[in-house]
Amino acid sequence: MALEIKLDIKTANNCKNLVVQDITGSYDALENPKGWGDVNLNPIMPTENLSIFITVYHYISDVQYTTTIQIPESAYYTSYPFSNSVQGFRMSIPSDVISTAIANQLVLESGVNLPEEYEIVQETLEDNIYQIVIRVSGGDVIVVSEPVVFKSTCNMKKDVELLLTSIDTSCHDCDDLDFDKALLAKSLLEGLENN
Amino acid sequence: MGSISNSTEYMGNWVCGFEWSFKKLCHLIGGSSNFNTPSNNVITELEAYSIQIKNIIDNTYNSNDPSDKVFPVIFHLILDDPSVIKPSGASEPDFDVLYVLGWVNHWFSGTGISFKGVDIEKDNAIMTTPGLNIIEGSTISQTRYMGARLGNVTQNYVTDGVALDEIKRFDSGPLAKHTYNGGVLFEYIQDNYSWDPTKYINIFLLNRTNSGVGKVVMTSANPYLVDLSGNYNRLSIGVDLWAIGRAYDSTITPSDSYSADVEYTNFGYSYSGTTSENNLTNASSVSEGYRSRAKTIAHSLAHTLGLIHPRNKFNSTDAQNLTADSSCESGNFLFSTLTNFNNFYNDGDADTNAVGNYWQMLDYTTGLETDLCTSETILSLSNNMMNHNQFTGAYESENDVNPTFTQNQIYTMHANSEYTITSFDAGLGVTVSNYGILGQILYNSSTVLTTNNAAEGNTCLERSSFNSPLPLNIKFKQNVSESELSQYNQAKKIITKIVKTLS
Repeated sequence: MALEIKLDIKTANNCKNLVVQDITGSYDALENPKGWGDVNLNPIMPTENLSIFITVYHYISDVQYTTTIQIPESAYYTSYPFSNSVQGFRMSIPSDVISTAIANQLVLESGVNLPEEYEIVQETLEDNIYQIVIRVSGGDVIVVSEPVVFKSTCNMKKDVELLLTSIDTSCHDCDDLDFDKALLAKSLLEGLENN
Repeated sequence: MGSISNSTEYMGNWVCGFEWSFKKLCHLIGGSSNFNTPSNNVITELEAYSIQIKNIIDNTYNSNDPSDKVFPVIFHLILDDPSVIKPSGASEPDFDVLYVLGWVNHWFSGTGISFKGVDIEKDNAIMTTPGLNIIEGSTISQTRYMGARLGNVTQNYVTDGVALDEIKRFDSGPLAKHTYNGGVLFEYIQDNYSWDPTKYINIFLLNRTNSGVGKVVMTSANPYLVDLSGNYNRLSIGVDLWAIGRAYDSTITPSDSYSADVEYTNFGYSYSGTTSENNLTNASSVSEGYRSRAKTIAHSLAHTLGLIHPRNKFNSTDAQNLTADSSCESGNFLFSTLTNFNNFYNDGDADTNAVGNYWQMLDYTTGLETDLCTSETILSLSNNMMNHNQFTGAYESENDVNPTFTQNQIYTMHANSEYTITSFDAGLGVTVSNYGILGQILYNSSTVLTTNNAAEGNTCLERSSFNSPLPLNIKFKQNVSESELSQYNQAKKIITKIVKTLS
């Protein structure tokens, strides 16, 4: 058996950060044979041995881009429950760090011009599909996690919730069409969240 | 390795060893048995490099000026006599890194590129004298093969100097008897005394470089070839100490002004009265680098940043007989169409000039030359930093000669700091694009520089913000299908539209 990093991915409640947490757990021959330590990779290592790569599937002005970025100096955004160990790390990456990294990456890629419409410093994490990979370099051993796909809906969810609260369902004179549209949005959102 | 006809003899009277390193790295990378012909894979690589540089310039700098860049520099001063840098007799060296870098940055002013002495040593200690590492020459010895007659011979820096390369004269045929350059190989010094080449630009200041009939006193390499070679130490620069500028004179107080007469420069070393005085290879006198004012270092650094000589030829045998036809129109761009290292090449920059006697030390009585391409009379001595020699101007013209870079050269240096190299990452199991060696140095600069203040001699620069761009462009396997992406995007569009309509 070898270490198999498991990740839990979500957005912060205010939609401003992408949160990536290690939920691999410690090695246990029976319960968690692919966990940290023992016969697998020892999590006691410098924090800079941890890298995060994010592939973002996004649109700018209706043009689809697939941009892979490495978050620079990710240690700044990472906390660790155990001293000197990377096990259980929790990265909370600000949206502007991600959007700036995307912009820089697009600029670097040959033949790609950064569209003027792209907002380089974004206040909230744009709703997109994100694919996250963690790499851990432990001496001669390099462990790369399986890519985890995360569909961010945080902004849409806030907007739809706001919309639903603003519609007066007890109003009999109101246009039912608005209510139906709001319900459609809610339904689509749930579809995204459940897929 | 096949038969290598590399010998320093072909350098003729040249003072810059760039072509030597270029040719040798091409041979190393390409594995061609013919040292004069780059292999097809090298030509392909150079073409790809050239296209990438052009793309960065055309696509990126067309709309956004390149970001300012500050490169961390460490000078390794290898001495056989400590008194060389203490001519005043004081306990502390008269040699001043800040003064040297001030001149270097003066020549680079307006380019958005500058250099700063590093604050942090290779072992992470804070440096007492930023940017300066003094090495005792007697401690450097190398046992190397020097032909069938001599066999393996131990060469020492103090007694034998530095060999630009192994062979001085190459003879072909079964009874060939090569002639060897004496001294410790420069490559040996690069490999054993360079600090981490992904963090520092290493500049070795030497006191004797043996290059056979050549007079090479400055050597540097193209960064892309260094990347391809896999040995980053090849980026380390070598310059003879006597060639950096005017020697110490106790009667002179150096002027702080970069427009001051060369008489008022003082580079803080002196061979006078030292054991090195009579051992200076390539220098007919100890004051031959009198008017350099660190242009030898600036010129070498510009090569390190990817520039090439404006018009040149790898083999200088018939260089003096070049005509306009042979030197200009028929010259091939080095990075795309040059297939034979005996051919004349050009730099692809319409704004640079070819000059006569470009390979020699510029020890002329006049700064005017004839442009071989246009037949116009031009101030040729040093009107461009990449002309072959940056030592001297005439006494009368020396302060009028301020070598500069063309706009294309400036952009080229920036682009060389930003190109990427694609390779396969076994750990990730994917193809990745890493920054080239210069990008890596910039990326790591915050680990060897403690301050953000502007570099010496260049007031317009802050440290690069290069930590924000990403070091990797990794193409992971895409786990999101097109239909999945399309569904997500459709739903997002509808939700956004509804929210916008009803809000």
